[in-house]
Amino acid sequence: MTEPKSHDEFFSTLSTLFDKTRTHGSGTVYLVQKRLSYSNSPSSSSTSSPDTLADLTPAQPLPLLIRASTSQSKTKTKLSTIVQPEDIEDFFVKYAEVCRGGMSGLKKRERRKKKGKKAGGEKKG
Amino acid sequence: MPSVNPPYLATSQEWLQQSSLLLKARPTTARITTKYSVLSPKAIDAKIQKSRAISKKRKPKSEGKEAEPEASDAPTKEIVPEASLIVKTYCPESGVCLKYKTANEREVGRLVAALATLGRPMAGLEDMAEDATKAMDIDVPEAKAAAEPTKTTKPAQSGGGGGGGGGGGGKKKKKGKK
Repeated sequence: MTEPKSHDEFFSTLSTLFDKTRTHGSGTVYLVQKRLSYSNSPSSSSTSSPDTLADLTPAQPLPLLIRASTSQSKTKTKLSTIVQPEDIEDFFVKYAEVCRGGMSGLKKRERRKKKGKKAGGEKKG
Repeated sequence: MPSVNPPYLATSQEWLQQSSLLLKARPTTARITTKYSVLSPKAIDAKIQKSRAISKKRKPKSEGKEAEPEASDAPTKEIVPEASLIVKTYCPESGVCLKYKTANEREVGRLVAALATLGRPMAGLEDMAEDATKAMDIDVPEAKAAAEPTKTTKPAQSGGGGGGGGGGGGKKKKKGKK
């Protein structure tokens, strides 16, 4: 496992991963988001039933783990970062920017068919 | 091993709702995977060829002959790289899998916002949606107060029968007739 990176480092690497899909013309970027729980070792997942509800109300907020990876055969990249509970909002604001900028391959709008119906409606500022 | 792909949910809103329920139930094991993939023109071409081969098989023989010239014309048009975005919430413990797929750029912002709201129960924080509704409730009483009198008069009207209803406004009478 690679060491978790700082947010800025994560975002810069993530945007280069998105850039690669653009320049290469193909590729896939995977992003995984999950709770970071140190205590849960693989064996503890099969503990007795009373303990399974303990995770619903943690004593204190837990950090999130964000992973990013690509499936390109030549340069397989893996990176991760840890988001502290208090940083969630700030992180996702930047995350949205990077994703919006990176996922430029998606369709802007279906103009061909609905040209007459939808003229305006720009929500993004 | 029978691997049946779970169906995609119809709207991102539905995905968000279902996912937030899943995350509330299993905040430790549930994970959200976002997959952004760009298919190269080559891959799209292969995909199209494959789908054509399937459609040819399905068609009766007489129609298949007619369809052939059309198929040969189609590849000449330019194929633009095709991108798609898939969000998946999966819980290995319960086996629940919720997926949503889009090719629309406008959904990106919405989905990342959804990831942020889902991140809160994941981190063990209070749900932002609940906070929002709580905040809404503070503002709502005025609207509720305006709405409630009409609701409360309805049962009174039905209970009072014809005698009590006579004194009411014309609006109430009309409602009763409908």
